[in-house]
Amino acid sequence: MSDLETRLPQLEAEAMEALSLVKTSAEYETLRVQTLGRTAELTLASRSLGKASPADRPRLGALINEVKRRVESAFETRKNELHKAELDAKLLAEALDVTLPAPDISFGRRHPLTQTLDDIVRIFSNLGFSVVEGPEVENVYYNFDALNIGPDHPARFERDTLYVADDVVLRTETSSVQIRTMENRQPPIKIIAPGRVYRREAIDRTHLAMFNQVEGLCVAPGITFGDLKGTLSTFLSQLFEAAPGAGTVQTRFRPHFFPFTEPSAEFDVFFNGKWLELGGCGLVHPTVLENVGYNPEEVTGFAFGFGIERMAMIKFGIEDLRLFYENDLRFLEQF
Amino acid sequence: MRISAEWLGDYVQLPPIEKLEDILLLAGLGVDERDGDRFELEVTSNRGDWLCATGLAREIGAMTEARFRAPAPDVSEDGPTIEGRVEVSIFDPEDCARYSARLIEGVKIGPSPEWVQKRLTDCGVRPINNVVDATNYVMLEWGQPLHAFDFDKLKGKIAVRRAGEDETLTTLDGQERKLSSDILIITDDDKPIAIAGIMGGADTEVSDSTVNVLLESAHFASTRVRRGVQKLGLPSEASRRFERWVDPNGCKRSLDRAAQLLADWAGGKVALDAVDVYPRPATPRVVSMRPARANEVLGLKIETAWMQNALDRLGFKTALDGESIVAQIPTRRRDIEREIDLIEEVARLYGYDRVPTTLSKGVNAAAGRPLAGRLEDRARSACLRCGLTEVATISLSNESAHANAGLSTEKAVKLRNALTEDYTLLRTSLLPSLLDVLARNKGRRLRGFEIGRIYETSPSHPLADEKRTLGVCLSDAPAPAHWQKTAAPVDFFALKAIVGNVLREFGAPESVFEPSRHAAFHPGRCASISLNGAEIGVMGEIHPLVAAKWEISHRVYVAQIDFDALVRHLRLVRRFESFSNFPAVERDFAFVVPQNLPSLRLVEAVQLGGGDLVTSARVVDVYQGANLGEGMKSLALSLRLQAPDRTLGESDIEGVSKKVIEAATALGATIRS
Repeated sequence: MSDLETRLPQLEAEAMEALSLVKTSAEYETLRVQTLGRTAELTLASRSLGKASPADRPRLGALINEVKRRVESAFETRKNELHKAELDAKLLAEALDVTLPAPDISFGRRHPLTQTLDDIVRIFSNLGFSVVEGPEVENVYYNFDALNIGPDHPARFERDTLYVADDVVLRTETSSVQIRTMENRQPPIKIIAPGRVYRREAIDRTHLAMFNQVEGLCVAPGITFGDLKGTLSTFLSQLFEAAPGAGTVQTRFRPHFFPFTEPSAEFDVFFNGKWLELGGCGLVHPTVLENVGYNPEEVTGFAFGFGIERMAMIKFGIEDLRLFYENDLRFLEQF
Repeated sequence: MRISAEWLGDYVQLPPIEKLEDILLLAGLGVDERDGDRFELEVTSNRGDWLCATGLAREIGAMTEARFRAPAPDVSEDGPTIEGRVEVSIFDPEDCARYSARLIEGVKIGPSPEWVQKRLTDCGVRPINNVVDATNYVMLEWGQPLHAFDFDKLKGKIAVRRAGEDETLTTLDGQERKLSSDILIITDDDKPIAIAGIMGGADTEVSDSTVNVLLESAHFASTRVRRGVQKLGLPSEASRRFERWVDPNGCKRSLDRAAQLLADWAGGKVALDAVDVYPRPATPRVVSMRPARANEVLGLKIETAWMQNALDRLGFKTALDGESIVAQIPTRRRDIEREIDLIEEVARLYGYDRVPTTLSKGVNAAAGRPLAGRLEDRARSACLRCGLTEVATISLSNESAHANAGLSTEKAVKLRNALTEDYTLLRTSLLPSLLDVLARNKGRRLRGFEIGRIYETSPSHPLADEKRTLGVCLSDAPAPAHWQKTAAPVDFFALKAIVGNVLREFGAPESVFEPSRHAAFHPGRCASISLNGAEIGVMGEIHPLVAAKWEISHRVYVAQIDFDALVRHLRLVRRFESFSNFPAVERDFAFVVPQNLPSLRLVEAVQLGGGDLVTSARVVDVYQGANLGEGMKSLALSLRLQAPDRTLGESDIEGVSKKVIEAATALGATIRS
């Protein structure tokens, strides 16, 4: 038995012993260089193989390789263990209190009126309506006369309407857009006209000098009062489908009077335990159809109108109309 | 129009009060308010005939098919004749179609009977004396405004004419009114004595000493009265009726009725005969309606006989003429002008509620995206608003991608005939997909999101359980250099801010993040996302060893939320919460707590303990230092105190502070001095 054969097991035992005492990657690295580096005894052992007798060489070579492999493998395992422990410790040290508040990052919001109008436009688009717009500074003819609102009608008084000149007003309804559309197109017509309208009103919780309205018009052969009811019921149930308090959306139509429709109705929705008035509607008055050159015997139609603010107030539970235009961030950020 | 059911019951059999309310609504009379049996009704501008008890009773009768009973028009003319004592001339029948008058002599002014006073009060009319009350009573009964003059204060002939530009009249309310040529007035030989249809003059009004009364019942043109009201800014109960329409053929009947009541209540004698100047008698309109057209326009199939009967119930005289119903319209209904007006009457009596709801041909009520899809869009838009870019990844994946992300494929939907080893199953998580995206964008500051499905076999789903899932991924690659050097940090809280915004968009509360562990995530930087006790997602920094599997060497962050669960748990439309306009007070507290105490526990305790005045509590500083003791940290909280209804006083603030400290102490915190 050569010296080497005695020394190798000692070397292996020493290396394993030292390895087991290693605590950090740095210690490990020092030990690895000591044990497996260029000048390490185990490394040098292979080089000294040349000095051994040719008969012993294969046996000793195999022995050295075996010891080296075992030591290297133990080192590799230890290295991984250390890395993992160190990573774990590092990750643990990095632990965050995940319940701490996140920073305020910018999160843009659409105005609740725009959200409501977008819903309205989407629903009516699906029902086949197109969206039209018209001027807000309007001829008296389109705002009143063409809508069968005669020269003596109180709505025309300076008390209620904002005049720019004798024959020019700030439109009081978007119905004027309907007349302009009918003048320029032939039936079938299916439009909604959203936009701003103006009234000479003192400002309070439920009144503003300006608000937004949507008027709808559908003129075609064979349009019935039932179609009007169906269209508005469908619209309302879709508009309020997810609103808290809406439940199954119930709608109600009550006879009313408007100069430009006949039969006329007001429509209500049942919301949070009570009936709320939403807007007016009816079959287009034959006189209005005649005013734009349609033959009421050939086509009939329905029209409706409502305030966008009113819909938004009901949907979001807002009780003061003025909030929409005060632009208080505490309001705007809620939608 | 205010009216009590008690009065209406004189003329028609009434249903129970709730039913009556429904009937009024269906007729087109909006009930603005009801107090016991008193109604405040909204009368539309086309229905002047509804501004009286008989008009309303007639309508109720038409709706319920109950018989309408008109009060008897008898008058006993016990006094000497009026002839030669009262003369009336009308200048322009356009302004005044009819003027009738009666003389009642020897009245004794006093209060009217109590039941009369009660009825007037129910209608919002103040009782004055038996003479004035009789005129008001008949106005409320028949809708005909009447005026009583003190006959002895009149001189000579009564005339109805336009006022001159320089004339004035002191009205009943004591105000001197400047008149003008577009105002219609009543005069005697000397002076104006009343503004026609609006208000009488003070000089000739009935007073306690009045003995002889001249009663006026006339028809003034709507436009003329409206001009007068506009000009003088003086609306009255009378003008409200004339502006709409008062039946000229009812003047005499109402005059007789008022004369008789006046005699009954004030004890005078009604002079024989009346003055009745009626230059242009109003004649009933004749309007015809085709029942077939009515059905066509309304979308109904009502029998002709039913329609005819309905119109008869309204007091129209109808006859059949070939395919049409020809109706004679009483002069009290000026609103009925053409066929469509009769069609509306048919619809009203039939009931708008009974008209079947239809959609015109070819219209699909369910067109467009369903709610689920729209909510997905809303989440998408919320992500975009946080500055994220949408990514699209393939649903097909493989075992090793899942294993690398620490995911089991036990429940994965596996393919029988996979073409490639890359695609052997459907993903059970968005994690491998998002890690692919992050790996593709190594070195770029990617901020991405995807709303996609994940798939698992499940006993409750015969095919597969497909869950819509929202994934967000952020990469903390170095930001490109910029002269302002202001790139926001990309870290755990940047991701939390994004997830928080998306959740809030659907109404989630703040406290949904709790510390958690997940094989793919950094053990100290992982949070579960829970709603109503159910875990709906996970988020955090990806474990470096997992990132290494994708050869990503910088920190990356991922969140994954079960979108279906999110929508199920949350409120989709926010209810506006009003905010206080009273000043808010900020108070800061610093507490020392064990290092492993999540700050949220302290915030929750302080909010709950502090009470309603604490509107928010935020962590504003976290500090760890040897001076605090081993394993301790300091949390500084800023509390916002505000009351909805008042400015807070020092004692309010002290009270809250005390409760806040108590609540924190109960949690093991000590206040840091």
